[in-house]
Amino acid sequence: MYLKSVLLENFRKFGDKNNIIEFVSAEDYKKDSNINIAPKTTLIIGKNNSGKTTVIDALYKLIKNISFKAIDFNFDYLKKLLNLYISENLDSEKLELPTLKFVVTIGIDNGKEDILTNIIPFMSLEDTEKSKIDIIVEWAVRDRELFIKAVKEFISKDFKTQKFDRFLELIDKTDFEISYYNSNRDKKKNFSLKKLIEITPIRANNVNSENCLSDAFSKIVDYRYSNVLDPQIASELDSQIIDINDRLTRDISMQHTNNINLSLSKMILGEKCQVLLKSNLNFQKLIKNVLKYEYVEGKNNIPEQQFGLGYTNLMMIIAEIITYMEKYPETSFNSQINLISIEEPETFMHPQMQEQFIKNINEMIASLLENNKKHVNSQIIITTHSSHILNSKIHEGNTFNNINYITCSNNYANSICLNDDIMIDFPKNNKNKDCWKREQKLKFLKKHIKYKISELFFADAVIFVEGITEYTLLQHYLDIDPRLNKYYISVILVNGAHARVYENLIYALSMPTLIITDIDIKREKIEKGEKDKKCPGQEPFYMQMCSDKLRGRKTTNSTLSYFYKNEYVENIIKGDYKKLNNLMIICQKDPIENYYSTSFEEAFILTNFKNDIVRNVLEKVKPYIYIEIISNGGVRHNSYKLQKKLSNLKSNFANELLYEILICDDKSLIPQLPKYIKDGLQFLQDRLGGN
Amino acid sequence: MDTKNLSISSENKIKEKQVFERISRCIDAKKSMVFDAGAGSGKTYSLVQSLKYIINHYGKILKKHNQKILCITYTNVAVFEIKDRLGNTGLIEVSTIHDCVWGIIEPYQKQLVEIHCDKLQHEIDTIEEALESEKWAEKYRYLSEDEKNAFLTIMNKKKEDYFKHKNDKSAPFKASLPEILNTYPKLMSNVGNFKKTVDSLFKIIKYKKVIKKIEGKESKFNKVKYDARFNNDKLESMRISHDTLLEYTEKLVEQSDLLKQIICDRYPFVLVDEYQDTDSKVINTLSVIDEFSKMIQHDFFVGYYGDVKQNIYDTGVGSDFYNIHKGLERIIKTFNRRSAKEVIFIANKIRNDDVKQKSIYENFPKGSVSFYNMNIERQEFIKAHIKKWNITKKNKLHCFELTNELVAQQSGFTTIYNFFKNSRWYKLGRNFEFLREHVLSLDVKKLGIVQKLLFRILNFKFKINQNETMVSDVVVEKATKDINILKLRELVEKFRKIKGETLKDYIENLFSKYHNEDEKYDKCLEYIIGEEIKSYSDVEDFILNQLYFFNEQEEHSDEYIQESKNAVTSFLETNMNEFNLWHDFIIDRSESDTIYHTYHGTKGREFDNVIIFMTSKFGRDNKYFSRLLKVLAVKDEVAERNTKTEEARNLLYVAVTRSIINLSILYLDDIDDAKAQVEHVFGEIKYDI
Repeated sequence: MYLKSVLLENFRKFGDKNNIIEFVSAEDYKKDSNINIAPKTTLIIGKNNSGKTTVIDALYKLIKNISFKAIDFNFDYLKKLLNLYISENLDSEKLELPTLKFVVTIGIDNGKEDILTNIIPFMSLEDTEKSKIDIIVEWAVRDRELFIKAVKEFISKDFKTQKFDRFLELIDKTDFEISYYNSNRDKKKNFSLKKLIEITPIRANNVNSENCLSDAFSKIVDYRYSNVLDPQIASELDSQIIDINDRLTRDISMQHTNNINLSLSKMILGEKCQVLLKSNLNFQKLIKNVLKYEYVEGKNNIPEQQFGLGYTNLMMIIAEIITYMEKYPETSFNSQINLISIEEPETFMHPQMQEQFIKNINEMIASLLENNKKHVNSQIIITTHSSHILNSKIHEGNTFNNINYITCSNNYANSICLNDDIMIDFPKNNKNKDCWKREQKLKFLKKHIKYKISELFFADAVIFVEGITEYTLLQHYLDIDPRLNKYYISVILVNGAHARVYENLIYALSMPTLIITDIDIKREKIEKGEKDKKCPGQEPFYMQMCSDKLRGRKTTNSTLSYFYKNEYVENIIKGDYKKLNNLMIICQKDPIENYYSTSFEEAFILTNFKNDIVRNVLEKVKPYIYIEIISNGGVRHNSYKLQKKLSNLKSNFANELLYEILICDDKSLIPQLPKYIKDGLQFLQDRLGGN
Repeated sequence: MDTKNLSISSENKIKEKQVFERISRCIDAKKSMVFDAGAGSGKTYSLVQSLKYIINHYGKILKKHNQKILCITYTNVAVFEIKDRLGNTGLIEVSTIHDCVWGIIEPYQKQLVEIHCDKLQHEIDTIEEALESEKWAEKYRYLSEDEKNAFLTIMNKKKEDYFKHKNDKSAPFKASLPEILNTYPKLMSNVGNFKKTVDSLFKIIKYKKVIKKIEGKESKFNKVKYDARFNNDKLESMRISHDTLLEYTEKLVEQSDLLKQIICDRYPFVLVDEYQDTDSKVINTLSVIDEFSKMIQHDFFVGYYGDVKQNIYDTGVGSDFYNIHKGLERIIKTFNRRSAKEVIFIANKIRNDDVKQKSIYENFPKGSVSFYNMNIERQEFIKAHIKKWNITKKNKLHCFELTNELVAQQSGFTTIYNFFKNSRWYKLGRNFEFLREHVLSLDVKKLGIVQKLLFRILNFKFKINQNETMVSDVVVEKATKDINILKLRELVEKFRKIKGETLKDYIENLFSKYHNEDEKYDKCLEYIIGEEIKSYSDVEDFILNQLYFFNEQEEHSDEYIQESKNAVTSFLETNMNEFNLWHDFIIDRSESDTIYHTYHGTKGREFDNVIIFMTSKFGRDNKYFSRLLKVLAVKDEVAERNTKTEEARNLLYVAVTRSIINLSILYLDDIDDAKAQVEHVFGEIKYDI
């Protein structure tokens, strides 16, 4: 039995759409020979203030039966209701009252281990086949008429600008109650989620005192003594404590008590008032005060207080999990769902440690279970805004499944549940070859995402580029663009055709995305300045591409032919750039100085053929060719030859350019970006600006 | 019908508002009132509005004092409807009278036992008086005191023989009691009278014993029990039924000022739905509390919502109402929100009081009302109407029949109905009057005990095969302890596989898997069927005991036993289809385009197209309707009060006012000299279709 999903309606940032969070099922960790929790861990990722913690808060409040407050309602929703509350609507039987709605969906494993007693009231006969049960939870006004009456009084007053704040107060004054319904809308009394789900939250920033680790571990030791170890051991220890108390008390009595009483009796009348000093040590006190926690680092023991915050944090998380595991009942049957939520564990951890986080947790749980007969089936939920932890999950788990990506648009939280099926479509026919291709693509995506690409989950906008030159230069141009530099725009370098592997992910994340690619017009060998045995006698040359030479030519860029569903250049260059939802694909579709450039470098050179910085860099990188060109038609008419000659030195060219641009103080001297890049950036800006 | 496009003139809107303002003034002044609303006037709407008004104006105070508004309804269906319309609330208790009354008086056991004792004594007195005065006890009265005592002593000894042969024919019966026949030949000259006398004497002895036990404070005799499942008292076991519960309540409240105050302080507002069908004892109880509250100057308000002309149950107070709860403010609503003006027009004429309704809408579609008097096959008549009114599964035709038999027959479960009708219990005394509720009620709670058992089995069979059924509706809670998904699926599958050509087959198949090392299956089955029934033959025995051998003290002849058994067995061997049709009827989900109802069964409902089949005879009264038709247009309300004519008029009024648009009445007997009266109300009588 596991928490399959939860729908949050009108709760804080969540509205009535895109409000489902999916969780990975919890299978018994011991079932597999290799314990791997990563595929069983649900990740909730998103930028700050996107609504990650909201999900955990909702679950926590629901499970622990904590009252919701006015501030738990979505404010837009409350405003919408408040607008409806005008006198002619208030007597309608259909009038909507503020209600928070949650649908907690429980999944059932197809085994014997789950005991269904707690969930049966919510189960239809159909659900027994589907193994999926909805529990509808509503936080609603207890007395409809009383609330409506209060609203009537409320709207008759003029609160000026404070109307909404007063409305919140009204809601907080109103009696609400929680009700549980099954999918038939039958109300279920005497039920509470507490019976069914248990949640152990591990909060962010739990390093709150100098001795917090010692405290945590003393709790575990105490628990192990009283519940795990042979009672004989605890009992023996207890007898020793009794002996110590006895000895100490006798000692104190001999050495001190008599003296003190003697002194006392001199001040007040003796015999009638005496004190008795006793030793009062017990097991808990012993553990609490005796346990000293030190980190063993190499040969040195480092006291707790001096240990790095990152390690302390990790240790705290581990300590909490150990406590949890120890308390877990030793039975292979479950009638409850167990959730452990870990909130932003990346706090204080350096990037490498974050990358290893899930692996570390995994190893720890494995080692705990090795020495234990326990069958633990808890669901771990991690909320994070660390791309490293995301990486860690994808790689340890080798899947995109169960990543909930939360963004915020128009004040509403938007939850997108990622999984392998969304990332790469299934082939339409079920041929082995196509399935294999799909697997390969998935593999690529998983591997590739490791290289910085996980950042894109936390970016405002993304630009995919093909070559090192645009990768190097674009970041700088973005940085100096006053319209764009306040956003976090991720520039990602992918080779050639690979950008389109990201297509589904781009749609799923629905953030403004630009793919910058090259038009790659196909030239014959001799047109590229290469000798061709098939064309004897023809002299190779570097053909500048004018519009009259385009007829019948194809592009060699598979990304373009994929998105345009067409290979012919003439078809690609006519009309506007390709736009698909949040995605725009740009290439050198317009001629610059009458020539169609084949790469970013060529377009950049053509756009800036008069620019001194560009000319200087060309001269520096390719001095001989540059001299030859200057006397032979100039940079403008030799742009293709230049880009061919640069092909082995692109990185060098880009770095030299960047250097020159960075040291250049006069902004008017800095080269311009080619028009197609500018068009692309304009698109990003429009989208980011809310258009 | 789609009422979306109907419009109400602003004048009517204001008038309707004014009516409600009168109600709210009564509520504010705590002046108890009666709201008389003819059929289709939106009575429930006004009731709900009143409840909302009370919450709005007094909700906060009620909450503070932990007081509630009590809303008493006649059926459980109405309870759900009102709750649904109200939305969430913790301030109102909506329930049927019996459910709420027992909750209030149960704690007063000391007083209840006293009342119970009085009741027993009263029963004894009544019987003794009958023995002194009734003709059937004449022979007994001729005996001297000594003879009487000696007679009783012998009878006590011969008790077993007496009950064993009680149902025998006269000669063998007499032969079974030779001592009596010899010593008191005259007493036995009329066997019927003799039995009556002996039963009365035994009853006196039985009740006297109970009184002694109560006075001796024996355990089990210090508490009165109410069991909603039974229709009869069992005074000797301290068990009372519906009617007696109301009787005790009335007495208890009349006796105890403290209880009066407790009730009026706990429920300062009591609203009664369908007051005309409410027992007069309840009205009296409320009246007493109302009066008392004025004396002690505590706020108390009773609002009655209903229509005396729709009183069709003789258990209801009916037109006696005004004599019981006096000094009520009367508010009449004359708008109709249900029917076409043609229907309203004739309904007004059938009523013989001052309530004259008119449609609240400006643009209600045209309707039709026709009164036919002809000799025609019902099916032919229906067929013609199906064509005329474009009847489809979406635009259904509803036919009202006077007799339960016809409804059962048309709905396809004659065998079932006849079995009950011919069973001994329903043939006893006036028990046949229960047949309608026990066999045809759409309120499952009101079905008879045997019918409830059958319904549970059939409903289980229906539900287990529906995907949307909730598990908890078919799998008892006890069986869900420690259950896992595999076991649950297996259990559901196991039940789904059980089939049966006849109900007997089905029950036997259910039990073939019983006690077969599947504890969960057993628990479910026990829950459906009842724990005391462990086999198919237990089902038969249960039915036999309820319908044939219900009197424990009676001994039965072998012949009678065999006959009864055969009847029950052949009943259970009836084809499953017929049982399914009965189940469909009860849960009101017939697939057919023509649905049959009894007149009584349609109360509170409304249908677009209605055919009323009418004969002169109803029940055992040959002139039930012909008597009414002769005076149909005569308006003399007072003279008609508490007559059979009034009863028939109310029934006809309820029947015709169910229709929204189309109404046809087919009178199947000779109209005779009632023609003028009928035509005065319905217009020209039609003699063919």
